[in-house]
Amino acid sequence: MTDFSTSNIHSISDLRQGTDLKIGPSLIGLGYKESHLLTDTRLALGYLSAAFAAGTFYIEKNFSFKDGFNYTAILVGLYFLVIGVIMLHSKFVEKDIIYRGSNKEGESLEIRGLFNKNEPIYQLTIKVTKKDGKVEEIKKGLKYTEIFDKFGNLHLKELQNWFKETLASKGK
Amino acid sequence: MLDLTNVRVQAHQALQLIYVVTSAYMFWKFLSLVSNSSSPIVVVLSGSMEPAFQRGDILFLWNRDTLNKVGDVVVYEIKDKVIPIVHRVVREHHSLSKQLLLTKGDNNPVDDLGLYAYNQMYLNSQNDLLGTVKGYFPLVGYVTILITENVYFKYALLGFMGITTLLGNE
Repeated sequence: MTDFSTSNIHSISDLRQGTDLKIGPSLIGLGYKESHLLTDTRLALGYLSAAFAAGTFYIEKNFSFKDGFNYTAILVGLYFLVIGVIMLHSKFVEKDIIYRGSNKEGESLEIRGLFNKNEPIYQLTIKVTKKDGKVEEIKKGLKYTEIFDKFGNLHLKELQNWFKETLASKGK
Repeated sequence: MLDLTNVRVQAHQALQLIYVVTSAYMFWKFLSLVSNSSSPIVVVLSGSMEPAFQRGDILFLWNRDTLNKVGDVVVYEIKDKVIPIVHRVVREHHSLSKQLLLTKGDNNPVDDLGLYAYNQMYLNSQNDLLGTVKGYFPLVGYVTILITENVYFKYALLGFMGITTLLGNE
């Protein structure tokens, strides 16, 4: 993988996506390992729904409408059930979480991101949970100009430095 | 260790595309289950029902009526013929267990006996119908007619879709 990702600097959403992709890699250098559980759950559920749709298509091709009616009803029901679970998962479990990870000392990070339209600042909330269960929250705006150059390349080192400073600034 | 980040990003993007296709398809199947019709929405392809329906009208079907009345417009399929036909019921006979129909296009000079399969004298309303027309929307279906009957339109549309996908942001 290259060290920078290129985004369209005139698109806030593009810059945000570019940043999201590099948060994990930038924190590796600081000793944090990303947990992909949320993403993997979403992907697994998504492909499960696709499997139900494929099953429905198979029934349509191999059975007459009347013979396949009950199978189709079950598969369509399961499909919409899974889609419902995916929506609830993204609304109540994933929310705006863009990163979850932990380091060897047992400290875990959860980063949530919000952005305002037309404002080139990523509003990040970093929740640090210590091994003993102590929770600390840091709210800080990440200016895209700090990590992207004028060509839209994200500099991983700059992002890493930003996290280093931010995490160091927390009260010990 | 194996880096799966890119795989996840690709899988996510592929999934977005899959959602577009499957959600439309499953919504269609849902409609089909509710209406008990294998094809709950059809496009009028011929002028045989003018002036009631024109080519390109979209029809909404319902296949849970126990009996069809004379005057109802039904859509039926004939064995070994691909395209469903939209015509009006002109005669019906029923017992407690089944109903037989004779249909005719409003704009046709004769009834449909000649359209039915060899030796078929009537439609069995339980087996041959896709449904009874319950509503329609004019002209929208003309896009389908253009796509199937005009190759230039088809390629122009495909080209347009390709270009918007290439130029659009995801």
